[in-house]
Amino acid sequence: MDAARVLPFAGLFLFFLPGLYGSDNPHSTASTGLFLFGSWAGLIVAAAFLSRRLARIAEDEGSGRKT
Amino acid sequence: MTTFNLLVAGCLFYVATLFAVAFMAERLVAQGKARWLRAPIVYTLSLSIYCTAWTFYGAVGFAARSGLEFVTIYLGPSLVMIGWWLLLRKLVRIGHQQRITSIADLISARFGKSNLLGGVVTVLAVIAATPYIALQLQSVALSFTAVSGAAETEPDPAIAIWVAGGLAVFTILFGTRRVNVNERHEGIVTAIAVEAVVKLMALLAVGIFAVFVVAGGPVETFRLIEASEIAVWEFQPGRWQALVFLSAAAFLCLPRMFHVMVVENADERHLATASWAFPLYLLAMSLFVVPIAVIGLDRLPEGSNPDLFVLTLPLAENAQAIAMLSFLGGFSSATSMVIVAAIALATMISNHLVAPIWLRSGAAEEGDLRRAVLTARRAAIVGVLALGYLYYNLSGGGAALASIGLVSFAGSAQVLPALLAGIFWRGATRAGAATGLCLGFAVWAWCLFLPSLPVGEVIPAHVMRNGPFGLGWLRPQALFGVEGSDPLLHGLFWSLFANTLGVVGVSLGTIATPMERLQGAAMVNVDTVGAGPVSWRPGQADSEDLLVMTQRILGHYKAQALFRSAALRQGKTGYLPDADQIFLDRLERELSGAVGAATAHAMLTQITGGGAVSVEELMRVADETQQIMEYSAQLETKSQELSRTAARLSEANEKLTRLSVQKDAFLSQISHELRTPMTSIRAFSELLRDGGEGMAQEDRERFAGIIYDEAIRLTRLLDDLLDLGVLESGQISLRLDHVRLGTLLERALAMSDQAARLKIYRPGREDLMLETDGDRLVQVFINLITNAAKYCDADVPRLTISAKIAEGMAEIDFVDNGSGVAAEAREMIFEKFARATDTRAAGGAGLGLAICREIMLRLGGTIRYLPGQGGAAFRLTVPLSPGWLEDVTAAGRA
Amino acid sequence: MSDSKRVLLIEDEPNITEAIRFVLTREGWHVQTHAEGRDAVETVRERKPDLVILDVMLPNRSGLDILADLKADADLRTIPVMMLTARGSSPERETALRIGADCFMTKPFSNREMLDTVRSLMAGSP
Repeated sequence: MDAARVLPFAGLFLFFLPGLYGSDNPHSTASTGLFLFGSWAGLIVAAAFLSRRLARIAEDEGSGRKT
Repeated sequence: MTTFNLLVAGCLFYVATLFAVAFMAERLVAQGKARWLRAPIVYTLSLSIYCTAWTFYGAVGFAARSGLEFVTIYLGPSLVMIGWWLLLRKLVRIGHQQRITSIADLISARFGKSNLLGGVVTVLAVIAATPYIALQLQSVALSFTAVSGAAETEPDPAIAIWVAGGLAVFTILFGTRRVNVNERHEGIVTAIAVEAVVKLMALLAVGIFAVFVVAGGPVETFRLIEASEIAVWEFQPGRWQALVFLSAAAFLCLPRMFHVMVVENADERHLATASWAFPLYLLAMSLFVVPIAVIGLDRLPEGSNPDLFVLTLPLAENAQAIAMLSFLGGFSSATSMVIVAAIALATMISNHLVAPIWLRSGAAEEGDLRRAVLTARRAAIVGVLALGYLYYNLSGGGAALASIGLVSFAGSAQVLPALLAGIFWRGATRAGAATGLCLGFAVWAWCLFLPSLPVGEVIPAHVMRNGPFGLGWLRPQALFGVEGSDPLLHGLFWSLFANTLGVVGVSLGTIATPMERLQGAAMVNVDTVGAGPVSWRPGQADSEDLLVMTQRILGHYKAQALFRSAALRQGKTGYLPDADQIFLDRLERELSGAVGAATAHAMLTQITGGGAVSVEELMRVADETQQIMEYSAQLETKSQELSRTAARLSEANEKLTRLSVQKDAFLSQISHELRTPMTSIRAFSELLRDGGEGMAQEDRERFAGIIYDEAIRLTRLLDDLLDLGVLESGQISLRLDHVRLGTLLERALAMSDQAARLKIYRPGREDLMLETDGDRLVQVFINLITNAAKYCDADVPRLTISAKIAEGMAEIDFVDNGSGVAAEAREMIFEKFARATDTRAAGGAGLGLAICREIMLRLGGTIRYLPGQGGAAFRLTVPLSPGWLEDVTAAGRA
Repeated sequence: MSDSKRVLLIEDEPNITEAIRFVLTREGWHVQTHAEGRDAVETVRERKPDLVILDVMLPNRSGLDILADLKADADLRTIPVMMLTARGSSPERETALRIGADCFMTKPFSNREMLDTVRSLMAGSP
């Protein structure tokens, strides 16, 4: 559950990373692109992994409280 | 112009297919066969309306102009989805619990069901969405012109008008068929999912074609990128971060996104799937953007519009099929966005602008609100599309539109501060939200929206340069003298800054009304508090008025079903439940699913007359959370109590019904029981009389025997009936005596004479001294023993008779090893003529246990069926002889 | 009237069965019996009697249901059916006649009465 909370911030960090070495402007489209898409794909895999477990937690909660 | 006709035909065919899909989906849903329509994957695909024609075509243009910056538009939503556990889950949960119909409804509901806020958000949303819709119309018109060959001429406005009209018809057909509880539209969602697949396929096809056919492979493409004019691009960290944030905010706040994400969500768990599947979709959508841009720049003539590379690249390479697919992809991106946006906006307009006015006008007293809402929605759809078209025409369809997408995003994002404050901060107040929204909206309009219109059209050029009335610090793109920054960044910063400041500052300085506090608590604590907000005082509303009103909104059938089920739950028959707290809350939720929270609340207030919250109540809600929890606990116990009472009542009712059927059958039964032996007696006596001497001697003897047996049977029946009559009327005279149980059992066994048929075990205490009428008790014993002999179906029938002392009474159990009495028959076996089975083989008239029960009652004891003993089991309780009991207890102590 | 006078008596009271059997046999009928609601229709189909006498209250299956089945079956529909009941309520009689019983007798009845009814039934049928 905590991993689920951390994940978007990890993503935020990764996506803002190109901005942190902003000194060596301009950026190379190809390499930055590869980096961005790579970290993006990584996040998706992590989210897919987490979602199964989170869905189960959500289900347990859901059955616990009837709306 | 064959291509033109082909295109029109293609579009028409495509739209017809969408119609068919939407229609089929609605049919399936109506038949209840549409489980897969509510699958997580359909939900995920429906989110793809985020990718409009602007992203389909424009992303490549964006990339051709600013390199990788385009990707920020996808990164924001990806982050939101990946972090669903933090925010989206809560939104969806609130949406379900409060039956939220739109983002305006959420804001309005959160801040005390305020019509004002709902209206503000609606107006803002319409203004922000209009340019975006115009953008869609423009891209369809442009792509049409590009593909039909007249590449560089101005697009024909007639195309845009046809597209707008067609979309209006489709949306009205499937989006406003009924005022829907929860506002779900399976037909449209399914069609949108199909469109999502089409546009993804189209973009992938173009990308693969470009990379593998035109450029000659990924390696070549990579080389091309390195060598192209966008090989390097100016990275602006501020703008990059702002765009990621902006797209994330817009993803949450765009009315159409909120609609598919929260309103159309059928199941919270779908979010889990969408959390990774939707970012994957976005990744796939953006994968080929840069290659297409680079290859387009490389291959197409100088000055080609990069916004149309997706289309012109395959055209230039003579790949007509791919061009057509690409065209359809763009077309579907545009249509899906416009359809959902129109539905979402129309819902907001009808619920937050039209309905409140309609209510205030007094028409609510007699008119059909349902029809009014539907009409308003249809008109709103037409209106929204007309506005879009008007804007498209006004702006001249030129390049000015290209940048409007982000401006529109920024407009929608103005809802974010109020939204986040609303669901995470209980202290946020209506005044705060309204101030923030209006401030943010004003700054946005001044700094971003108005300047986006062609210069000179709305804001004169000198105002842009020098500020209004020469006030330099109010210049739209340099507020407070902040000059030289990116106009978008500048506008976004100031608008959200003012907005947030307004929300927080004014919220801290104002006091929330009780209704706001309740709603705030309900939303902020949606994870822990199960029940909805508590707002009604019972007993003030007339159920009939409520029914009349509800019928006008939900329609007769639904309203009556709702009231009937509520009445049943309260244990009442008919259609009018008591207007209690639970019912009013439920009714309000149902109504807000149709007309929005504020309107629903206002309508109920009109009828219950109890909308204004008094001072005592203010005190009462001093600590909302605790109150609500307490209340929901109370409700729970109360409803459990109610349902227990209802269960008991219906049990009694069932028994009474069955008894009355039996009473009716009673005479008929007696008739039957008497006539059957009479038939034999009459037939055989007739034979004996007429047959006379001609009959064989043995026949005559046999017939006489039968007559005798049947006469005995008749006598027994009459005895039983008489016995029962006497017992029931209470005229029986008992001869109470002190007798030993063992003695009585011996007598019963001897008289019933079942030793051959039944093995009898007597392990219990038989020294018990009873105070009872021995003859009567023996009669009961005989009955139970003969019953066991008759009905016990074991191979070796066995009856165990055991006695003990329990609670000052003798407790005597008769348990056999047969299959027992079926559970549903146990209630009835002590009634008259209730044979456990039909079979006549049992011989008796079915009065035995009824007599036993009466006797035991007179003797001051009981007889009950004892379940769970393996076979048929009866338990008798009989009073003990008091003197004996004292002696025994004294002896036990001694 | 032919010489094939076979009657199937469906009745669960052994003594009543005995009486009817005796009376009809003496008149030259061939009497077969069945004492159960279950399998009654199958028995009729198997035996193909010229007449069915059917009690309403049978173990396991109501005589009225059996009657309905018989009258719904194209092969068995033509066999005349005489219903017997010990309950004597008129709704029951109406139901039986509506379903297609050829006549209805209330217990107890006289032997003569029964014989006359059987004769008139047989005269009426081919």
